[in-house]
Amino acid sequence: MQTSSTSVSQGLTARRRVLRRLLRDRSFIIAFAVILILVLTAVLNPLIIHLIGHGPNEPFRETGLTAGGVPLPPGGDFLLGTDVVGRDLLARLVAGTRVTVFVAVSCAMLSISLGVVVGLFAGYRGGIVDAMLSGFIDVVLGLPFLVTAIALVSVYGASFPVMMGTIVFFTWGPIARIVRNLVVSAKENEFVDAARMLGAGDLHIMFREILPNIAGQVVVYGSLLIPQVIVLEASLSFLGLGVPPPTATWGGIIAENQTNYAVAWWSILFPSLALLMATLAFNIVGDGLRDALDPSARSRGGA
Amino acid sequence: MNIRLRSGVLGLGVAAIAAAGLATVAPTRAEEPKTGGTFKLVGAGDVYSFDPASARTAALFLHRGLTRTLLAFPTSDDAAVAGAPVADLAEAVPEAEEGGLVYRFTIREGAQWGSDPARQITAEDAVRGFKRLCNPVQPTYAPTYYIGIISGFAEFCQGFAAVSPEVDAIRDYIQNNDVAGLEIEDDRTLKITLEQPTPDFLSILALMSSAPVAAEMLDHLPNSPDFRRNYVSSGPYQVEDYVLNESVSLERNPAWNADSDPLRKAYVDRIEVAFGTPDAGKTQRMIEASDIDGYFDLSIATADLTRIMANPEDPQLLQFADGAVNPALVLNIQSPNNNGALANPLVRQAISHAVNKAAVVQVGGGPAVKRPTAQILTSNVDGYEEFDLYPTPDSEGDAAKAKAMLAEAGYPNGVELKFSYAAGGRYELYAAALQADLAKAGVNLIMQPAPSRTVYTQMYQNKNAVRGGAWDLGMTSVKPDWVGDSARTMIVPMFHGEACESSSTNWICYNNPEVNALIDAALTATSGEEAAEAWRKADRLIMADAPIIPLITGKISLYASARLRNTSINLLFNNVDPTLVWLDE
Repeated sequence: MQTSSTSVSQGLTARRRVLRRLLRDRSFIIAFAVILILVLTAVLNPLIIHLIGHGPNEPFRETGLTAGGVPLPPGGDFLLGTDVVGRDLLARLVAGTRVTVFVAVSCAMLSISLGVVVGLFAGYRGGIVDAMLSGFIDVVLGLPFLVTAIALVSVYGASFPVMMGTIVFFTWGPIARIVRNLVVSAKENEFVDAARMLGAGDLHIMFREILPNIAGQVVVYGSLLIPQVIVLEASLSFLGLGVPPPTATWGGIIAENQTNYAVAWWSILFPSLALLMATLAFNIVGDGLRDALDPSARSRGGA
Repeated sequence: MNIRLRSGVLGLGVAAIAAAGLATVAPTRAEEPKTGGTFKLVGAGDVYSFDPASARTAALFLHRGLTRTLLAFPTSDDAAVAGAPVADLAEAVPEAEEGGLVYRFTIREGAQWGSDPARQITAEDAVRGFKRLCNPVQPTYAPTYYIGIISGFAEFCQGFAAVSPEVDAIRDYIQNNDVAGLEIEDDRTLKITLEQPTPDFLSILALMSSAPVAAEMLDHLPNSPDFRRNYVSSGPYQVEDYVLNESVSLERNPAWNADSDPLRKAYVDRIEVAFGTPDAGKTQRMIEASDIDGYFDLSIATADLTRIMANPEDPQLLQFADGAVNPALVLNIQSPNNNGALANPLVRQAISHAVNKAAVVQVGGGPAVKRPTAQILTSNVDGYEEFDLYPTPDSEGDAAKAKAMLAEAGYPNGVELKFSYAAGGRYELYAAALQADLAKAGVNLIMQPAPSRTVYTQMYQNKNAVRGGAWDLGMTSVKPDWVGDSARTMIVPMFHGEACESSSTNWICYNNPEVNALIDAALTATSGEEAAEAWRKADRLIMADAPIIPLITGKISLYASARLRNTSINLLFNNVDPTLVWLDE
């Protein structure tokens, strides 16, 4: 009992230390706040758009475009100006946030899940299983992203599932490789031998013994995966390979307005800033988590 | 055969001054022409087909300097003049003989190939040009301009289809097989016999596909890189260098004899086109900075147009009637979606009432350069008579009427249509502009943008995709191949129903026997007036069936550098005539 209570108190102390370290990191706090705003914007999307008063897909021919079809600059009825067909840019950016957050979180979760399962099996079973799965990961990592994406969309058409499938396909590989390496090193530990001697099966050892021990690092890599997913989603949408219109996405907004950059700078600038802000925020949060969780970083910090 | 495969390219339409049927071009300054210099242009990309047999759009600009035809369309800002073929290689425009069945051409003495050594262009070269049209590698885009018209051409092409697509096999077939209707009477005289009187045959002969071709060109696969680099020219320029997808430069052809060419002046020494600038805004800034002299395959972007048109007297601004309906919506009448709703004419007419054409005009550059249209033929084409079977207030669409018509057709809750269109250009804007207003009428669009080639080959031209309902609504342009008696080029490919099952242009297999009969009557009419009347009726009848919804038409807007002079527009390729411009420097 005494041992157990000591272990719990040590765990709590470690968590507090991590939390304290995170709270001291000002850039982490700011980035976390940005992510919180993004998530709130995504969740409260209908309410915010209602407050703006303009639907994201609603063109305003009379008030949002000149007779010659040129978008209007920020000000007046349209805080961030209008886009190439007279829609409210702010309303579209807000609507795009929902897509970005949804795609980022769901694709990252799917990629991590897939990567963890494959990585666990490859690392734990070793031998032929490891060789085959590692070979497959190498093949996936060797495929050119854009060429494959264009081919997939040419065959299946642009759609939400195709876009998400493409992103997950190209992002689970690195996670699987990292997890595999972590497992290879973790399975040599005594706690694995102990579990095996107590009669635990392979699945139990992989998912109940090894996985909790590498979860911290997986979370760090997962948080760093999110900005990658955001950029991939924006790239696909920019190329017309993402979510079909008129659904607003940040990459799609940039693509729709790219021919107007000389006369409607706002229609490129604001979605680009949103993209930059989101990727930066997730990167900083990922870095902060890594610094706080990584033991070597901790020891360097304590020295 | 006038359906454009590329969206956005020169996609600006017919003029607001359509009633006059004239192109408006900024007046050129009356100065003494100067010789020399390099005429520089940039383009979005290399031409799809350079081979005269299949050359279209921007490639025709290059061929104006490279290739002469028996007859040619003159460069003029007057559509009536521009649509009347004049003699080019031929000594004169021939009179039809034997009741419109025979035409005789004598090639001008002194008209030479840029071969080494230079040699006279002959009737045999002219026959070779025709024979290459149905080669198995890159045949003409318009076989119906020749098959069924020139006597014996169908049989010749039928045999050619079985020939292996290799240089030797193609050469052997061309050299060892004759077309009954093409007779060489002497070195420079060609007799063409037709199967039936064809009122627009002289216009067909003025197309680049009817150009004589030098014997050396049989040593290269049609339209291959080798063909492009080794092209033997008959015009005032020849290919100096051709780097596929990068650039082409033309230099003077020493064999060209100015006295034998009434159409070309060839003031500039060189013509250079650099490919790979798909941004019209960037091209515009390059022209304004005098880095280049003009557009090759693009036109002024909407965003720049408002600024430039603030000074309508700007002599560098060139505006002229395009002659195209661009865009038009194609309704897939074969689609099983919505219980086959689009097979019902009432549903199609309802959608025709629902579209907001004014919105498309606005995002296309506004009423100064665009106007709504409701028919297939445009003002540059014989047979055009303005009408609108589906008028709505200010062309903004009538959602209430459309809804009522849909309800009457059995669709009170509206329909959901899969809308396939080419992504990445103006069509994306047009699609976005249409979507909200159609939704108000209960026509909900599922947007399916895809790369242009994918849309055409996998959707529009794919019979399984058509019949399976992979798309309900398409977006394309309908453009005449020339001005004047060119109604066949706007109507036959998409709306002649005979053999529509195997047609690659009548995607939806539209087949109305009354329309077919009118088309046949127009094609075999004994006079231009009779043909025009039949085309006029066919236009109206097709629009009553509403398999297509023409949206807008308008002007093409180009810009020329400050040093470019004599910027006359040739309406065949919608650009300045490179053999007439000169540089003031």
